[in-house]
Amino acid sequence: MMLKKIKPFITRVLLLYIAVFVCCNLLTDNQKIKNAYHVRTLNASIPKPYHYHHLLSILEHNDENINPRTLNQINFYYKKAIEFRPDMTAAWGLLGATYAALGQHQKALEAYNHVSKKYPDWFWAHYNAGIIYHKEKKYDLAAQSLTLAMQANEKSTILKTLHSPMIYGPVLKTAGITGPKELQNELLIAKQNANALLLKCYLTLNQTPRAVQHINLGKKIDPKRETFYNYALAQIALKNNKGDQAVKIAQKILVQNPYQIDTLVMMKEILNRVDKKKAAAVIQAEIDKSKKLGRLTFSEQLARISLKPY
Amino acid sequence: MSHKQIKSSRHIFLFMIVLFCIWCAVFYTFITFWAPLQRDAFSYFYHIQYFVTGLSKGTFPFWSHLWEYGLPNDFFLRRFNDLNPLYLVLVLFYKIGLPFPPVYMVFQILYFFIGTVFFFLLAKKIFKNNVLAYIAFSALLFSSMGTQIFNSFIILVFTPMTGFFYFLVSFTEKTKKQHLIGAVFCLMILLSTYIPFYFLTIFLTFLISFIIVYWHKFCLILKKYLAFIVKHKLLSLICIFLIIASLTPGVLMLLSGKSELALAVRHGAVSDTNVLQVTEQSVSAGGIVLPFIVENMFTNFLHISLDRIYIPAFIIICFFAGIFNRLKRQHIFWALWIVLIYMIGLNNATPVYPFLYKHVFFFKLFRNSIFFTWLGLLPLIILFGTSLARQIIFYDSEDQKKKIYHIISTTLGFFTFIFFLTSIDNVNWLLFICSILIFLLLISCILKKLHPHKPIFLTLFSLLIIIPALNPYLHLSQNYQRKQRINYPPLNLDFSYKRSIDINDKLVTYVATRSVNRMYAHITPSIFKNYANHLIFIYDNTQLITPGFNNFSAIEKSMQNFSNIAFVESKDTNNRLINPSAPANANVITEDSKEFSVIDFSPNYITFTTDFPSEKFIIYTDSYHKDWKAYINGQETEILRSNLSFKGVLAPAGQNTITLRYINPQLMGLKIILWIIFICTLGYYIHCCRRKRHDA
Repeated sequence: MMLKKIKPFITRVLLLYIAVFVCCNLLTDNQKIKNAYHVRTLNASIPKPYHYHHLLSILEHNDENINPRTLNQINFYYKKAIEFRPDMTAAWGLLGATYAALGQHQKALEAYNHVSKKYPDWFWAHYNAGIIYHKEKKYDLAAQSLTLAMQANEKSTILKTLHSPMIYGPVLKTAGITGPKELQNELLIAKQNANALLLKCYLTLNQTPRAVQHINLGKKIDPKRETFYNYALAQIALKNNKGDQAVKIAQKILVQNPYQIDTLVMMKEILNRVDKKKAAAVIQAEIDKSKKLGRLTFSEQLARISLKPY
Repeated sequence: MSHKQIKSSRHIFLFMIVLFCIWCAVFYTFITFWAPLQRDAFSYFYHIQYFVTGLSKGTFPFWSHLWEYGLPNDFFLRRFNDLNPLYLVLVLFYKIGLPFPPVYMVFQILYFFIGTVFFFLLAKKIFKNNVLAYIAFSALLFSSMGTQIFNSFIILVFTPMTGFFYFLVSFTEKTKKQHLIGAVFCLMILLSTYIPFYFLTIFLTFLISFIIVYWHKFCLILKKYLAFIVKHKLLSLICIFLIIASLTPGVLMLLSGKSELALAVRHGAVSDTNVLQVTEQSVSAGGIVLPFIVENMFTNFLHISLDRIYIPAFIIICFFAGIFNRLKRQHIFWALWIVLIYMIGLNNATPVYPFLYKHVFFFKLFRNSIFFTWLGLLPLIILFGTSLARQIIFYDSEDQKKKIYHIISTTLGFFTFIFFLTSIDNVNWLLFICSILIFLLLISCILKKLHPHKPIFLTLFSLLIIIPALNPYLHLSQNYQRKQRINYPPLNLDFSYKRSIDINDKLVTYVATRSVNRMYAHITPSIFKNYANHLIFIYDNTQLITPGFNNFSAIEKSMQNFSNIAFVESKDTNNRLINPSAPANANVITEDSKEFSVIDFSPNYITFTTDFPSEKFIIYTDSYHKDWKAYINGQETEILRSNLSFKGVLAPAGQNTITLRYINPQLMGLKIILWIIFICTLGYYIHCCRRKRHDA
């Protein structure tokens, strides 16, 4: 009798759902399902070669045609990889790269700082963070990160990059890096860039002794930027009221590189100071000529130093 | 049928056509080849194109000479089931000059539409209501079932399977001849397809669920069937014969699995010598992963792919809104059937699949349980949801208290759904709005403010099916759209001295003859490719080898340098050719000449004339197979396995006509008989339908 009374209340579809849920849970190995869910999610969102091409074109070649959809797709993959494997540091690094490409610098920095904490010896995290800080004109933080990058262990960085086939493998393949030699070359170029940026930071922060240190280092490791380092030396001389020294260095630069804008600007300033307006006007004409030729200032060149996703 | 019902039927038919047109517009990118066919869809397209091109030229292609250096085409014919008479429509249109790709696409879409119409008719039989059948039809049309046209072969199983169940239910209702013939015809198509095991599994789980839930009804139905069999003994016997006949190709294929084919990727590490057998599958590799399906049904559309499952929100809402509906036997039946299929689809994540793999032979012969999601779970969830929708929409009670209770329970269920939706990240706002509108639609029906048979309900319902579906499908089109239309050129089946298909340097192939598989295993792919790019080689020297010969580097070196020595598997010393004064390199034939000329060619044979000054050995870089025969001037001679994988024949000096022909009389005879059987069965079904209409 009681059963008849309560039957209309309990024979509901909800009961069926509960029975199905309990039955399925009892019969299934939830750990296997969880693992399969991770595998399936990552496989479904794994970036394709064109994703990496686009990421590299933005980061390495400063391509301004950003396709947010493509970048968000890569971003999603690394987010999921980190969600399932928080210890996968390489994924954090690439997550930072995608945020940087999307212009979300704060999130990029968080990702790179996460990597740096786990691997203090990881060059790329410090380097990329330094570039972002530099772009945001936070020169003290940029100097800190870039200094750590310069101090990072090369061998360790190369090994970690090459031993991450799932995460870094496709990126390296897209970038045409097939082995340790090419990666070492990339590392050298990055270190040269880091040194140049460090110098810029110290000059802006008026830390002359450190600046001179990096000028000397730069002349050793980066002969192609000799002009830049000489210019920096001239700048320091000018600041220390050693105008003659500055002029000498500037003349030396202009002999080798007549259209170097920054040096021409410096020369014009010096000439204006000593009231040699006619000569200054001649220099101005040379500056205008250089600009027409499309020459870049050192600041413009440094601003083009781009992140590396690896 | 009342006037109201007839009018309703006309409305619904019109709505179905309109909905189908909208579906075509949504998938415009794929239909017009702005997005490429993926995975199995592409290989099925290719193999059907090969079949249709061959037939249009008057040749039934028993051998596939363009795939993996040649192999028996029956493997591919089984995959799409060449016995289905509807493919003749493709042949007809191709023959009159229409390009194959659009004809094929239209065929696939119409085949899918036929499947959805069968689904509509099945739902109509089950629910005895046009509107509910329309709900089921639209939900299926805008679910991810249709996306499989562009991704896999599932539609080729889905349509006959739905047809089978429709005819089975119709026959159970009224034991009429045309229903039986219809069911038998659909069953024949399913059983003669390459992997009928998906259907078999679904049918067996259906049977088990039905017997458990409707035991008494099952007994009554059996009695009904027996009565029919007794009354129509001859017809019943013929039907049994037809079913057995349709099993023959599959059985023969199973037996051939121990001989000439190699399926390295599929066969994997299975110890059994039958190459059709697969390893015990894990849930990670091809199983049903429910958390992945549920999570991605409402979000993450940025990454949506053709592998994603999508069920219209209306059905899911009905599951939640119907949570406090009275439990009926039908609900238990749907739930049990769904759970059984789901358990099997979980592979090694449950004890069910391993048990079946061990004890039921056909579980060793198929993988990719994920296909059960489309073939089994998707239609069943829609039918289950529709049955819950029936209780909500067609709620009929004058008792106010009961009505209020019904509204409250529906509302509670709906808010449970909203709560579930809010727990998922990044759900589009459009889905929330459409869900609320769906809820209002359901409440309007309960309150009798909106009558389900009226066109306004059908219009609103259709919009609430289409609009939420636009978001995922537009993302899908974006993810696959290319900058240029995809070009699928016509297949050229004419002979060419150079291979036209670009074979990549791959290490393993999906299917090939054992000979070619050996080649992949032992010869560097680039050397192999470079050598086999040319189809005809003439050698002055042969070295006889035994089947156990394993100096593969010598063969590789010979191939690499095009050396004038062929490695021939033979014990007969008459096949030994030694000509020390011959040039170092083999003669690679690049065009017809007096000495060698191909005079006739089709996928099944090649005939060439030779006029050599001395005896030569000819290698045709098409895979060696025991069913190929050689004839020199009409006299049968031996074809020899040469350079590990290819066909070779010793050509005497002087003028000769040599034919190499693929002959499998058993297969050819069976093909003809089965074609006649299939066409006659379809013809008889059409005849029965016309008679019924005439009688009516």
